[in-house]
Amino acid sequence: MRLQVFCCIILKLLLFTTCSANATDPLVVIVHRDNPNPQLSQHQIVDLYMGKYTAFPDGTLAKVLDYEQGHPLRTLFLTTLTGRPISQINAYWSQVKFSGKASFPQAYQSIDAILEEVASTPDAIGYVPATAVTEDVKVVYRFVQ
Amino acid sequence: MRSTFVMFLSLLWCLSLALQADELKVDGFATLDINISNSQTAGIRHVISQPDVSYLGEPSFANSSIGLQLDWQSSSQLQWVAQAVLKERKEYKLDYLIQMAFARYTLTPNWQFRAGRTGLDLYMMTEYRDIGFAFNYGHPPTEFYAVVPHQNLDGFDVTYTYPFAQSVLSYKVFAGRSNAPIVSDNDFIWDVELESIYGMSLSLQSQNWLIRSNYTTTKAGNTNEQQGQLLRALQPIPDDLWPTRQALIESLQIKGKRFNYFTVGAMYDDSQWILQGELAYIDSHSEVLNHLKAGYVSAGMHQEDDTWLLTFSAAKSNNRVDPGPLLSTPELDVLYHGVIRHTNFYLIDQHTWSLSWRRDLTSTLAVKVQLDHTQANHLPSAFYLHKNLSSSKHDKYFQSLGLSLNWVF
Repeated sequence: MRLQVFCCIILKLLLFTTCSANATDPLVVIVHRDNPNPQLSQHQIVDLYMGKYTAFPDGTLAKVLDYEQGHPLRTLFLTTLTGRPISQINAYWSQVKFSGKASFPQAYQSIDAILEEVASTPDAIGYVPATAVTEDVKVVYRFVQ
Repeated sequence: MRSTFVMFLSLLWCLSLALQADELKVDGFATLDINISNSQTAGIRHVISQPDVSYLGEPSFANSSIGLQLDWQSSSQLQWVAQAVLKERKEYKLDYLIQMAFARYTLTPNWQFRAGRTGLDLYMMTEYRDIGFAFNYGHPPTEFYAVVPHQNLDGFDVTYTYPFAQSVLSYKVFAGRSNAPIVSDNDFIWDVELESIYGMSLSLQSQNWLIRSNYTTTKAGNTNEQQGQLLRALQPIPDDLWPTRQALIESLQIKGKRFNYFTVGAMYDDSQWILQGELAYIDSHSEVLNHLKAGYVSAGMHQEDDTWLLTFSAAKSNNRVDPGPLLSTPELDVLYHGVIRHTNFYLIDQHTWSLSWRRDLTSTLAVKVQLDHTQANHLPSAFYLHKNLSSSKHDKYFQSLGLSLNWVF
């Protein structure tokens, strides 16, 4: 039992360390490498991540991927994207979600999980630190630091 | 039949969830609210279905609520949503507990269909008025939101969404039926059925702006038992004795009468300044609820974790007050007062100034305080419950203070 608790603490520390390191890197928005859309505008990404219009510019329905609530990358991404504090964003999402208009994006725990899902799903969209980008995904938006 | 349909949908949905537990999303919300007032005769509440009110020295927790929502995505285009909300009511039954239970099908990014029990998209905050964390007010403005207790629709809606370069246009049509209770003095309770609801709403949303308009028409599906008794008592009275008797009978026959709601609203929020306002007009073929005009306007600002709002809200109706019988007898006087109480139920003329403060304690927890100063030019009012109803001395000016803790999880 003690060993399990110890391992759990170590894992959380490692995760925190990893996230903290990556959180300082500029974020990029990624899609599947075969996605025909060359780039997205900031407004289009706001629409996708605020549940207003969940499609790519070519009209394809998008599968929007996000990190779990409280993940440092989620807070960084959404506050940078919208220019609003995370509490206001959560209040807005409470309106959208609890009135049944749209559901939260599919939530993942780690950068690797997002990369894997985007690489294997043609209509997926997610975001990761620029340094984590692989050849299996395509960058469609870069945040200017 | 409607309850059975809703229960069936919920059951089907829950069984499916059990099989697909990995795809299940569970979210919830809770509000702990206390309201105090200095009024000795007007019992303060914020919606006419609330049975509990606050008087001087008698605080109320009636705005407290807790809710749970389940979302299941069964395919890339089909989602199932159910929401249950527990809050103080006169009667507790499954039909009231289930706020939403519907299937959402996204045919294309532009076209979305929902069927089952959905939220009623009437006013800007109707669909999420129970979720305190979702809005900046301590409670939605009473003069505007208290009059309609209905919050959901058993039916379907179709939404067309079109993206512009800097905004998104949504056009929605919906149809169905709804029921919700109205609670008033002397243990009056009426489960008001609205049938043949047809509505359309148009909204334009940009980064900082939301502009919306809605037109909804519906028919009353039932008549209250007390109204039925008054109708039967009025029938044998000669027109010579009560010249307006026939018009009263016509007004009290609520069932089948058409009610029309029209509203426009706008909100601006640039993360520093907030402006929000709505106007509504309700008319019907009955004097009971006719020519009701309501509106509110708010201005405020965000300062880091704090949000301040100053709001003015008002409501006024133009109900015609029946002059009554030409002869005064104890029986006719009792009947007249009974009739007046029903035909003047929505005789409203009042306004409120409100100051609201919200502090976000964490990203999912907020505390809110709101002070209301109300001037009621006509009491008794449908908005409130009353003490000393037969007395002519009603409080025309009163203040209320609400304090709430609001959480989403």
